[in-house]
Amino acid sequence: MSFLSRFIPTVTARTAIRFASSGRLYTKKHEWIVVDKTVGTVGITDFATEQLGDVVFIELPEAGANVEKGESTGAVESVKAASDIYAPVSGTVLEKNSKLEDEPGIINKSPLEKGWLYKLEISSNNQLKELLTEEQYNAFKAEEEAEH
Amino acid sequence: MCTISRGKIGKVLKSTSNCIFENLAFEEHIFRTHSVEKSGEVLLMWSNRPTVVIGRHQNPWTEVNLPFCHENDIEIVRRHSGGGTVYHDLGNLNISLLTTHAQHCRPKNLKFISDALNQQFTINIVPTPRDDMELQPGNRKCSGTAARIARGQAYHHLTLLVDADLKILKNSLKSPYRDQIESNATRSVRAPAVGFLKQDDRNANVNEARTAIMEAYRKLFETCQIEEVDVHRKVHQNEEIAKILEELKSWKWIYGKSPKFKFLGENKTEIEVKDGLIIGTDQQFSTDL
Repeated sequence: MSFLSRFIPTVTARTAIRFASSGRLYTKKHEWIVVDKTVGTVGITDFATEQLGDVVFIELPEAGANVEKGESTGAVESVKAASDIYAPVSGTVLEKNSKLEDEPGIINKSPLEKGWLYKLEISSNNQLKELLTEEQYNAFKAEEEAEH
Repeated sequence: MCTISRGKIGKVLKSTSNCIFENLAFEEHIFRTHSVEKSGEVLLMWSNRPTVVIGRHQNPWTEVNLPFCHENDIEIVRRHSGGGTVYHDLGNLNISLLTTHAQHCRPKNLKFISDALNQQFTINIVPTPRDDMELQPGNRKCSGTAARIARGQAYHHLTLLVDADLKILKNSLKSPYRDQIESNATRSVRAPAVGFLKQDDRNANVNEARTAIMEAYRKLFETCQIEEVDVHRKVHQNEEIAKILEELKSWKWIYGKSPKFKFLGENKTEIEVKDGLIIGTDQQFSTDL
């Protein structure tokens, strides 16, 4: 816990526990991010891919692109619908998962592992605090499903 | 079929512009700025001069007969939604339905539209599992669908061939280079048969089709406003819409947005193209090279 506070000085002890235990953080738009020091790996959840259906094309941001939290960073196409995907936090894209460009179906088979979208250098750790933990995301999902 | 009910308020917008760029820019602008939750659903309809429209992730060199279109003054356009390539002209009616993401249901839309048209004309239009619509008998495709989802909202738009010159349609959609391009761009699914409403009912026309659909849409809501919109004027008066228009018209969007591909020329030459430019150069790709 203490090593985390060294890198994220503004994080309280409770938040540090959050990161250490869940590893993965989520947004209400069904994106996930796993943070390793200052590098975040971003993807979309299995809930999202199930809603989408078979993905036929994934538009990813290029390395070097600056993304802003909440802004559109590309799109996923499935059954003729192009759905925007959003940046969970601000930062600079380091690498996109080019395998997805050749085989977009990977995202349906393995959205949380092999289907990662891109990695980025996070500009502000403060934004991580605004994301959902796994428990909070699961609760949010249950609410959404109840409305349908 | 989805059971989420529609809201109480609807609005119909009939565009007076025949320019595909203006209409698509206006549609995208409404999508970005009109809050369905606050102000209700929207039905937008328009027709335009001869155009071929490719889907967001497609490759125009694969999908479109570019030389034929240039010779015959047919516009080439890339839209924001997914799906395949379509040809349309003034004998076609474009229909766009804006809802929240949760309310987005293409089969439901296609049902009320085909019911309305089948009542108005002596035809039998049937929606398909692919969300196309076909004239029966003969499985003649007369409508293609695409969608865009973002920011909690969605639009489902579709074409409707009321009258068409099938020769021009077929020629413009058959690229001479389609077998020479290796790419992961989304490919159109060619319909085995294509048809238009006038084939089955000589009285079918775009105006009556538009009115029939509008009346059916109106009945779905408690209140429904109907407006004619001078889209040409709106686009040029509003800076936001003008910006969207400029982007839609740019080479960078129409050609440059094609996913990277390899062009296999004569003598086994291979040209790699990314962002529409020959890799490693500033040169725009062209099949005339």
